[in-house]
Amino acid sequence: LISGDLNLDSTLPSKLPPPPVFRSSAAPPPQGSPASRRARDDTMVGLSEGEKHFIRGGIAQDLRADGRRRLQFRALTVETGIIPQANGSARVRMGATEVIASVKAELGKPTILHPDKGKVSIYVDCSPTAAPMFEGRGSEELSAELSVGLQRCLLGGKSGAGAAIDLSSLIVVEGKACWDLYIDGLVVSSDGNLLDALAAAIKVALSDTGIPKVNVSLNNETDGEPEVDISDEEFLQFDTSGVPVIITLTKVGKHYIVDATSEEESQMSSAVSVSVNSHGQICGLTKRGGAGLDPSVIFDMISVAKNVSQRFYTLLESAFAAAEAVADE
Amino acid sequence: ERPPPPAEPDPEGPPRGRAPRAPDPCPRGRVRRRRHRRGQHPRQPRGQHPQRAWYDGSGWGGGGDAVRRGGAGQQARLREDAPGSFVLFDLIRYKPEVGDIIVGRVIEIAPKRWRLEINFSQDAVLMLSSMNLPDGIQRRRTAVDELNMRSIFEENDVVCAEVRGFQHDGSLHLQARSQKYGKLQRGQLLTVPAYLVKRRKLHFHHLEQYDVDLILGCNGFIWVGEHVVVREIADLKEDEQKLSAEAETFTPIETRRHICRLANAARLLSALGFTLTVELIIQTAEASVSSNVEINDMLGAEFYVQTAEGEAKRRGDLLGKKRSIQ
Repeated sequence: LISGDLNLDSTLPSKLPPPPVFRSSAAPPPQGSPASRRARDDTMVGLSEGEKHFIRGGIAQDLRADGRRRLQFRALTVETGIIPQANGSARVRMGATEVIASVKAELGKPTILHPDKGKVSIYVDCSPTAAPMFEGRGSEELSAELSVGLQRCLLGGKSGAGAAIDLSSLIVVEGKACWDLYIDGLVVSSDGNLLDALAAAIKVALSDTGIPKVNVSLNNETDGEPEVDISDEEFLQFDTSGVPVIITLTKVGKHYIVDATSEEESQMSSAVSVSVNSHGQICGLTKRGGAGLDPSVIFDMISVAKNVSQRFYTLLESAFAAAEAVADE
Repeated sequence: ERPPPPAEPDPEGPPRGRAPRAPDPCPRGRVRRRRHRRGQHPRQPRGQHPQRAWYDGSGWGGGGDAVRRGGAGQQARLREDAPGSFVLFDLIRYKPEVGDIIVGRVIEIAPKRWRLEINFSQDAVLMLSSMNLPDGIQRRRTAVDELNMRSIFEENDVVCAEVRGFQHDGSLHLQARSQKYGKLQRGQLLTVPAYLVKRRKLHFHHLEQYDVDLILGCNGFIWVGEHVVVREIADLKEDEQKLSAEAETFTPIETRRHICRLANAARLLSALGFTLTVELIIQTAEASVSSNVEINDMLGAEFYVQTAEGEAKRRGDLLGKKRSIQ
């Protein structure tokens, strides 16, 4: 693999290496492994030089600390409908990382610029149960970064074009009433790979969301506000086939890994999060970390992410189906 | 609240005036004896008291486990005979005893000592004088030694040490005098609940068939790593230079596979709540090899159930044998 590190004095090869071959891992939704790290008062737990060396060696040799290959995900478990008051909710566990997403719909007024579109807002919060440093305002930076990353992937441009959710389906009365969707994410336990878990949770929560049907009575318009009657019986489900997932590739040394734990993330030089939808198109791209990357490396990471996303979709779908089966029982 | 002392009927009424003083047993000098306050053992450091306490029916029995052993000092249990008795203890936290082998992480370098984090309410202290010097000579530690402490252990290093005793405030005092204690490199550290690691004769295990060191710290920190040949500490400096020229010195892939398998076995057993012993960990790892379970899938549902069933069967057999013997 090509490395964009500046301290290599060998010349770069002229063509990109082929993407790696994947093993299919159709693991059933299993127990998450117990967290092997503990929270400290001020920062994340440190690692000694020997442990860091071990982690880097594992990634270089394609055998990570818990036995996974570089492009293998942790066990994924999904639960839906955990927050009864919300219109839709989901909890996703990837190993020791646990996040909850909830979708609430409220009636509001559309903006003057886009009278035919509803509104969606995404906000992420990190709970102090994840790490002591998240208490109070400690989590602001991380929450803002996660919220912005998700907004870029899911909400599309300023005009609302290209959003994952069809905003025109949220309109009730054009120009007067529309549904406002508030998507909230909560990080309950943090062991790396938060963005992927949050995106998966939001996707599942949207699949679980039911918007109540409204009956609009148009005769009473004296005050300019139409009467809307929200029914409790019928619900509209979203079509979430267009909602993308996010795959984060963490670069450690010369290799990329998928679904990094927090120990592995501490060793990263840079990370690229690619948002891919089910058609294989790229919906968003975020790069974190200070190390510079050669453009060819970025292209390679994008193609690897595209390949990996197919597997992630199947994993997520089987987990979601299992969750639905449990919910039906 | 303490229950009131049992009232003894005094036929003469309450004593008047000062009681006569007993003759001095040591006329030459006064022997200072620590008052045995009711319910507190004289040598028990105060810091430990809130952690373990049980109401004995006649007062609060202080946590005297460190000193009292045998039948009297058994673990806190519910006593049905004493009315109103209850048990208050913290399972997850480590309960230290002198002579325990523990694994800790250095969090701070203080004058002439290292502070280690172990799974305890307070940080443990490893004095510079309790640590072997790099050249192995027994001598007084000078100021130069104190300045070079970082060359022995740095922050975030994983250290294996032995509990030497308790300090006055209840925190632990450690020592790492023999060659087998010291810095642990080239491996991974796991955390399990401390009560799953019982005290045994041996906590260091060198598994020859895998070339892996397995250290079960009594505080719940388990180290699984490449086997380190016990040799002079002066050679460790060469190792550190080697670590910087990385790719050639990564752990060989076979050893790494064994390390990951054993680590996953330990994770699995702690998730199941089984007591961690070397035999059980090795048995689980070998069962995974014989069942052709991938290292990663050891943490999956199928192997989880398989291990639980295997252990249930083993215990059932053991019980059946006991019954047949009786």
